[in-house]
Amino acid sequence: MCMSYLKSWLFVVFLALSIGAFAGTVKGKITDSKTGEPLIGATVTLVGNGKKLTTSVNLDGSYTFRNVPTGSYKLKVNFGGYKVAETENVVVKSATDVVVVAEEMKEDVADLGEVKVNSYKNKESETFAISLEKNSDVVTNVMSAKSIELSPDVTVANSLQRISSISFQPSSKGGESQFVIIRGMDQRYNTTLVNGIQIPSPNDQLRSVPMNIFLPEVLQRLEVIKELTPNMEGNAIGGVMNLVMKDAPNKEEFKIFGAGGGNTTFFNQNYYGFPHSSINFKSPKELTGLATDSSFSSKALKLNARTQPLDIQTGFTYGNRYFKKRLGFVLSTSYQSLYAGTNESISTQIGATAFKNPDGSVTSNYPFFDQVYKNYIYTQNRRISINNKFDYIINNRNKISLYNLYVRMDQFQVRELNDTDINAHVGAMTITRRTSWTEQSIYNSTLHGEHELTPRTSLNWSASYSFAKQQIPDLKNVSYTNTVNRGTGVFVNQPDSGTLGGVSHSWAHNSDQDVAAYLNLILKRKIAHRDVQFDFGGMFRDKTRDNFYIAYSVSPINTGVVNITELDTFTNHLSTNQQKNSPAGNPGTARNFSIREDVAAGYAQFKFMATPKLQVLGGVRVENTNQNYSTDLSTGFDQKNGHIYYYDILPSLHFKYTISSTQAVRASYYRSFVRPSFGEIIPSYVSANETTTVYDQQGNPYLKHTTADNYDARYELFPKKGADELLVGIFVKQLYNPIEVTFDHYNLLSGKFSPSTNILTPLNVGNVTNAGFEFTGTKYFGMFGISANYTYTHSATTTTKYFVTYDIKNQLVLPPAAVNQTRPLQGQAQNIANVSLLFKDHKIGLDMQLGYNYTGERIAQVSSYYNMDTWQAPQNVLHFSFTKKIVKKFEVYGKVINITNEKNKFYLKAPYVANPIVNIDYLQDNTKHIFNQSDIYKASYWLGVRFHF
Amino acid sequence: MKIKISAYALLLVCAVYFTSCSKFSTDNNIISKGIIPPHVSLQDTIRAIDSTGIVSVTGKFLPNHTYNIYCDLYVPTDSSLTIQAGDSLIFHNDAGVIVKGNLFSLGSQANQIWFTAPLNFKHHTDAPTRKFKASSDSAFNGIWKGVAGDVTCKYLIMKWTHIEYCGGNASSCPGNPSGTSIFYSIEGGKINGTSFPLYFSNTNGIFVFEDSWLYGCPDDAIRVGGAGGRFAIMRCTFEKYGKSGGDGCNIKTGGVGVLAYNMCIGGATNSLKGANTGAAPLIPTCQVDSYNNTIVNSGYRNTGSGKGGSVDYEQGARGQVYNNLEVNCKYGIRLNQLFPDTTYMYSHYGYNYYWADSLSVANQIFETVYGSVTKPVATDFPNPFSYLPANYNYLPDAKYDGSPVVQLAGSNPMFVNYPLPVVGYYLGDLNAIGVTNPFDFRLQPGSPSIGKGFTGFTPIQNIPIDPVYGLTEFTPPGSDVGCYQSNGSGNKHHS
Repeated sequence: MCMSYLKSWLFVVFLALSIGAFAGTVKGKITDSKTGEPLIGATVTLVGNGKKLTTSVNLDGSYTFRNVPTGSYKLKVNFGGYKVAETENVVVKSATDVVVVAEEMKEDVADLGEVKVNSYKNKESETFAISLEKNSDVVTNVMSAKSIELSPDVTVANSLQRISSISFQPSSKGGESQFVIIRGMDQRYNTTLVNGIQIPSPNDQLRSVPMNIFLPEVLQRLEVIKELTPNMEGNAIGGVMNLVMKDAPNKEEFKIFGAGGGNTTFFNQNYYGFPHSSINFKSPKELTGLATDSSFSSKALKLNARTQPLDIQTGFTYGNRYFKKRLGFVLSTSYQSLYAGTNESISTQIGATAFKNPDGSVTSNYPFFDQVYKNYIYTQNRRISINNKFDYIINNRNKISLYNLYVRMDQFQVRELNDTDINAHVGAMTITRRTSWTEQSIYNSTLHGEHELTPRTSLNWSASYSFAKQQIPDLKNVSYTNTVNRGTGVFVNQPDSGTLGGVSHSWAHNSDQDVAAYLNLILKRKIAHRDVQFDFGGMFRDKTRDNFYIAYSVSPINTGVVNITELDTFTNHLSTNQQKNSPAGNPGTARNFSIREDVAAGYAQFKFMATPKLQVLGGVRVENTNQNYSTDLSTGFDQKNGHIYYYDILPSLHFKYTISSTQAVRASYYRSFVRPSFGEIIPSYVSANETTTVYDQQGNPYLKHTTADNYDARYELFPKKGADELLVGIFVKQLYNPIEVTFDHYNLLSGKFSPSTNILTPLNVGNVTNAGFEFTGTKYFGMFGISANYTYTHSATTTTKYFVTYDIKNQLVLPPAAVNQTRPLQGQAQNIANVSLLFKDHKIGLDMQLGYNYTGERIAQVSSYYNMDTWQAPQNVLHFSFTKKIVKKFEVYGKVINITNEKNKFYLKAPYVANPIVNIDYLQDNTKHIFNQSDIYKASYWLGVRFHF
Repeated sequence: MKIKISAYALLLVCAVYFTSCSKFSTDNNIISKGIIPPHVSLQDTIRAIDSTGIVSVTGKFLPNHTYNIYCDLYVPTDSSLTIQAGDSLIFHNDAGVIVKGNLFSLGSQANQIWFTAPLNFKHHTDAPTRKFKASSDSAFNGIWKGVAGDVTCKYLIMKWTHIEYCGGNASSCPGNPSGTSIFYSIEGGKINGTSFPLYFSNTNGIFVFEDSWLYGCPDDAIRVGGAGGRFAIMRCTFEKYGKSGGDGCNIKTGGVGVLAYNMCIGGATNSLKGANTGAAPLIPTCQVDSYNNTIVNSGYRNTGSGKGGSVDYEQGARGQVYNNLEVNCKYGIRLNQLFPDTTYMYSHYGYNYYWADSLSVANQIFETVYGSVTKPVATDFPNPFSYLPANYNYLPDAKYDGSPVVQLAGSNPMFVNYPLPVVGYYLGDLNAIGVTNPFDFRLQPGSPSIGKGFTGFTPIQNIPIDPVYGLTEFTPPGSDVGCYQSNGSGNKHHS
């Protein structure tokens, strides 16, 4: 219920009764009286002649009544947060009469004496999002909660992909995208904020926060900020993703939704899961110190088959204001359980070789394939997001708020890996079953205060505590071998049986705790008749990170040929110390470590209008980073402990020139940096069979951090009508000491050259320039709309590669020679495009969206051999969603993702050479490329309902 | 106006300054270095003296002396440790030797050297036992670690030396039980995993193991890995190597040398193996010449089938393979399928001698599982073309009937003391020479193996002849098949 006060209006006289045989038109625009923004969705009623006609305002801000009988009417406009506007004496004179009645709505401001509550402009609306983009100091893309709701997006990672110049990195973990690539720069160069505060990541190796842990229903809006000002933390080169959570509403609000659905992989295939209750959360080392035979349970290795498991999404939001609207409260929760199935075919190479062909010619530098994997991955992702905010308005000049966020994702995964050896032991097939439970969570609590000390001086501060953690308890791998007769193709043993190898169990967990404080002082002064705003401030953050890992290998007592379906009944035998299996377990090499990181920063910033049309913002920020790490390495090794410290001086300058009320041009320069991730600087050594990659991995504490000079320019057009926009921009980034994970043959830990091993190592490569062009456009035509964005990115880096040749005379494969190769940065696609077709009919309450995404080819894995980088093939993905209002507060919605069953495919850019001995079936479907991986994850459907009170 | 101009000027100056200046960031790090173990003198009992749990040792042990060693020994880079004739080094509690410098173990036929375990752990149960189980034999218990040569090790020279009971916990640090030894990372192993008795990894280094013995280990007996090395393993005896997997001599990329005149009995998988896994600049291709070896009962303890049972070359390794006497091995010579160096190999092997007690052995002289592409050559004995089908295509899984050569008359090598065919025991039960009634694999006069050897090839000779810094004797190819020659040359181990 809203209170309303009457004010003076424009009065139109009612006409006397007239037989309205013919009908006219009444139309007009409804806008906000202060800003002129259209109030989309406002309800317009025309009452008179015994009739009541109702319609809503369209996306372009207009309403239309057709076939209005001649007569006199009263026009009434209702919209939340605004006073009701009424116009009397709207007269339709004849059938061809077109009467235009425009209304400028005034905000509904509650007058409570001393307290003024700013109106609750619908901050979740698309128009608010656009106004933020238009009015921000730097290039920003904003996506509103409303548009996320209407879109086919299921996680925040999906939503981000819809924004210009963002693509996502493919994950081998069952198809869900976790990390985004902004302007061609991968996850390492981007930062995630929640309500403006940087949060830690639960990932054990990376600083980047996995974006698929957040459910979009708790968001107010999603911002991607592509330029940094001195008052923002300086560690982002691609961009910053700011998740702004829901605020307390102006009046009581309750929303609830629920949906069900499924993935089409399970139409003709079962889902396999393992019993969660059988997992021991603590490792034997943490429980008793040493393991015994009974420490290990095989129960979780028995899989349960389910047909077509049901996906569920549900959640609710409740918000209100109390104590004369001083205290605002909102609680928003969302829960999701999704099942996915992926079929992967991968073939791995161990370097390159060269050989003589039967016809006498020589093939040089050809990938040396050794294993062919068929991977069946069954994943259940269970997510919960809880957002809570209290805000208390102390008085007109002081406000305090408390934000709490808790997000958690549990991923249950079963991987059945069929590994056919095509090299050393042809015909051998090893089947490895892996069950894992990965639990990731982030908790953040921030206290924030805003104080207006004088009308020209204000102060704001934040105190924040965050805790992120990940747990992977009792990750199991069991393998057994069966042999295929290459001539007949028949297995030697029955399917699902073979000679049992060992079982490995590992426990890993890590936690990241941040305590941070921010203080900002804003001074508005007048200098030489100009308004200038000065910002000063600083921040401090203390971060503690701990990683734990232990692994055991266990042999089952049953030897010989066994049936794998009885695996859960086998007893395990942990042999004594001198054997391969040890009760002390294997803690890995430097995989147990802790890091303490302290960041202190200060900045000074100014903003003023150089001319009435030109805004200048500039300043400098200084950040100091101090890290200390310690590992459980033996004292005989180098790099057991380390102290790494550096500072950065980050100037920036931003110009915004307002050509007219609808057009603007921006230009920026800013300097920024990124810190290497923890997994990269800790000198751990992880061997191939412990990870999802097929190569050894190591860390490098000598890494330098990457810095960048960023240049940006953008032209913006926001036509007055509606939610249209046109944004065209270019950017150039000069990176110094970028980090790429490539193959190295130098084992940093032992300080020795290990040429027979390819070790994935993060290294500083030479300076790289990354430049691109972005286009974003949105246009509405009445009920239809089209939104498109396109980004072109180019980067180049030159590194040394190995090239292998064949010596015909001595019939010998020569040791490799070194050559240079230039390629784009890992993960950067040259072309990315998104096109969405939108349909909104407010009268019948129907919203539909068809989304298309194109991501061009990009490097997935860099090889140390010439022209043997693994590329991901271009992808075309199609999504669809709809929302239909059934009755006033109740709507039905549906989403379909990956309608065309697009696959993730990877290839080497080398032509396939048919070899009479080696025949790798599915690889040679292209004469230019050798496909070495293909992931199929199929389409998913959801159908749900939403209540909004 | 004035303010406006000067504001612009200021902005311009700032812009020029910012883009031209580069000292906006710094990178500093202070990373800890590993602690070098303290040096101790060579006493009868060697224990750790500080928390590193490891001691540095250099110099020479006294000859004909017994030493008890309770912690890892560390030979620093560019230093040498010499063990003299007649010495016994008894390693306790998973101790090992880390060689960053050089190690010389210079025994003699009269005064041999022992690297061994304490007496109460040694149970040479080498009398044949029916249905032998490796889990109940102390030979595989790994009482101490072994000797690991790092990339800076220039010489690892062992003559007339017994190495036994190796393979202990590779990261165990007996000198400081709460610490970890760096031994495991030198061998490329895992924490709490097993060790290799002998490990060498220096492309230009020299590794010599001659007239020596290696008894009992859970995995590979000798590995030349990492960066390879120049090696010569000649006239040695290998017994009971590999518990449920593991090879005898496993040579990886960069290894170039000879495996010759060795007596190998009771290996789990292969006895002699070359595998050129993943090459890199400056590392030569794996090249191993295997000739005049006697290999008996190899391949019966590997739980994964088909991984080889006598001699194996894979992933591009190459070598000359002649005059090997293979008795009842699980599989014959195996050349791996994918990109093998067959162009070279097919013209560099032959004159290998096979004896099969039973059909299961005879049917796998040419291995029919796991992708072997060994091409038959007429110089082998028995002549493969006498029993292989006419159009035998020697590609993987090509089966044949080996019954014509089961216990082929006139092909019994006639060992001095090893009756063939084997009666009363499984082939896997006979896996050591023995102590009370030792086997003797020399050839009796009249043996068909005499005179069948091929001497018309030149093996790799890349090691100098020197009593200390190289080989004492390089034995060229012999005219008799196997490691014992009827003229008394070749392997010198026999009772």
